[in-house]
Amino acid sequence: MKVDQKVWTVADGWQVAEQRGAGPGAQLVLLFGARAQLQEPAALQQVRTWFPEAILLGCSTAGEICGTQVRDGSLVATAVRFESTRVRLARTHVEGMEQSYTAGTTLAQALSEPGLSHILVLSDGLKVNGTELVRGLRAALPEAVVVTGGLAGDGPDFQHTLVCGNDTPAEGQIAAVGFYGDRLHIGFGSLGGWDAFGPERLITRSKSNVLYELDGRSALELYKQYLGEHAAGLPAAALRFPLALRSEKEGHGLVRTVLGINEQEQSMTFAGDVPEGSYARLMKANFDRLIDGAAGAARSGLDRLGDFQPELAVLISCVGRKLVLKQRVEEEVEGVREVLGPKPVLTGFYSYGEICPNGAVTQCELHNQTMTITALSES
Amino acid sequence: MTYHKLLERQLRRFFGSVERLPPDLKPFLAAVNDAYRAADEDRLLIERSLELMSQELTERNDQLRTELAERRVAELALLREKAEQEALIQQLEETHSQLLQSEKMASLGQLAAGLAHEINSPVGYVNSNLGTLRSYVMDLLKLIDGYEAEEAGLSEEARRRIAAIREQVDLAMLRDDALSLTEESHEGLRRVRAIIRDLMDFSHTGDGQWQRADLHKGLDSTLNIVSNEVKYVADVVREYGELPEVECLPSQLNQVFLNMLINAAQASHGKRGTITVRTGRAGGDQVFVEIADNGEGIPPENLKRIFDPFFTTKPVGKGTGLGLAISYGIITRHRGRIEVRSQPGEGTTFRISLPVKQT
Repeated sequence: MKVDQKVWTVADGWQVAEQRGAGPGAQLVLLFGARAQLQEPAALQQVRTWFPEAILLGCSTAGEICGTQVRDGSLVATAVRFESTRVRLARTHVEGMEQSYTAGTTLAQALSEPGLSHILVLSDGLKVNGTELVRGLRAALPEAVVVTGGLAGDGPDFQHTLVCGNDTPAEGQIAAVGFYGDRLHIGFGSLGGWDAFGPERLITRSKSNVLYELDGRSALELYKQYLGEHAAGLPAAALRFPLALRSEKEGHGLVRTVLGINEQEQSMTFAGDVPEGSYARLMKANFDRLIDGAAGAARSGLDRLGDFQPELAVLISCVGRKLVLKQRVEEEVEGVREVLGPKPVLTGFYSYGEICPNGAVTQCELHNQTMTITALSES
Repeated sequence: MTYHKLLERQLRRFFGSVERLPPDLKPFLAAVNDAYRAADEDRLLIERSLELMSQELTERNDQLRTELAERRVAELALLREKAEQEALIQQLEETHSQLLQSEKMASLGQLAAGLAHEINSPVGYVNSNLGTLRSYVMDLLKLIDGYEAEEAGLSEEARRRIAAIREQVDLAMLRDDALSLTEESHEGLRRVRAIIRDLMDFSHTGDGQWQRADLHKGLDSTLNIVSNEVKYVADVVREYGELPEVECLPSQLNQVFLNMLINAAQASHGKRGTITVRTGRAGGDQVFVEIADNGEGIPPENLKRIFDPFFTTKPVGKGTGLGLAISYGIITRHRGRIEVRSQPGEGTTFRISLPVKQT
């Protein structure tokens, strides 16, 4: 496996970050960029020129990861040339949240083919119910195939998110790449590091991923009360207080973040399901634990790789972590680097939702507020 | 740019003046300034959260405390209800057993009445015939005396034949025995008739006049009658309350008192005891008479049977087993109740409750 990495900004143009011999023969280019940069036709054209054969898979972000740097307003292109692994692209489009499950099954069916070992999926971050998408993917895939990925971001704005799969980046799009062959080894891990606090609240009114009431009170009012003057910064401000969910069906350890609010309906839309009858607790950031969490995710990814050394690691971390860690956000990427060592190229982005199995191999879940790592190695 | 207060103070202390800072330091200072402000914001947010959370938890705690108190009240109410139900169940059981007892008594009463009636008439004519038979025997003996006086005038042959017959029938023994046999038969019949009378009393077939009577007088006269049975074995304590005149069959009630007092006297079994006779009003239009002894008490297994006819623990010949059964019948006829409390080794108390008026 050979990896090249380049970064583009308006101010500095293209800069080389890693040059490890992927070259024009690269089969896959991962593109992570701020919405404006991703929509820059000239930049995309340049990538296509460098890597004419490659599948371009990318999305808009709330921050790009390039090595141990976390950037805003850049476009990071990471080109991969596999020695024996084959990759294929599938793409679908949704008009509304209710199509999320079907989109998942469509993608899974399109990629299902002998030799499929892993799927990396990037989805619109605002028009898709991540939980349903994952459920759809899982339903149509053999147990051994693992899905990782994330929901596109839009800085702290929550307005429009874009996904690109060999085409012009667009809203409402979901793109996935299937990896085929038995010489590719993938490790993955996902960890949060947030602390739940305060009383446990019963979700008394919700519909799918829209939350109305906790303990019979308006959930939006509760958030406003806790945010105080920061309430003006909703919905992004709500990322400071993710919800920890506990239910008999979904188990525990699920974290949900807000994607949008509706003042008229007094509702909040979350990145994943918030089922009625589950219990929710507000969570708050604990800097040390967030950074330890990232390192923990890397460690679990490394454990799954066994003897193989990762050559590329895709880090998908939640926008909420970036919002609270602020200038210290790079510490979590540095934590990952310390665990993975100097060898692998690091890329990734700050997302509106992370997709990764939790614990058992096939139990793929949508996460929020985690650092999710997919480490690749080819033998 | 306005700096965070602390940063501004630090800049002033270390650089003299904020305005005189080198321009290329500004982006760096902006980052430091942001970090200061962010840290402040975070701290404020956490402090606010802590305060709100503590408020919420206090509210929930209060709510739980209230709920707990309410639950405690409900629990107490439930316990009270349970106790009431238990009392009700016990009352039902008592009523049930009393009902069973009354039914048993009623059917036994019928049986006894039938039996007494059937025996009464043969005993009647046996008694009457026995009287006649006695006078016949007397007449015959008188006749024999007459014959004997005239015997000297008979022929030798005739005298010898008569002497042989006299010897054969053992006239001397016959003369002695005949009358005592009829006397003994009379006594036997008297006892049979007494038992029949008792049975009739028990089975309500007796008669008598309903009248208003002073129960204390009845008790006192009964105590006089039994004084020979009582005075050597027990002291009598009278604890009379105030009683109105009670509509009753006085002679029958006296029989009840008699039975109870004799039982009480016999309960002492060797050691000198105390018999307490208590009276009083029992609420409403009821009066009570209690006869208590401090004797041996009645074993629990016998308590249920003491009113059964012919049940007795007394030695053969000492009791017929009818006393309490008759008493029960009499009190029932008065629409009253007999209750018994007994503690083996400590004594027995019979409590008779009676209505003042029968209508």
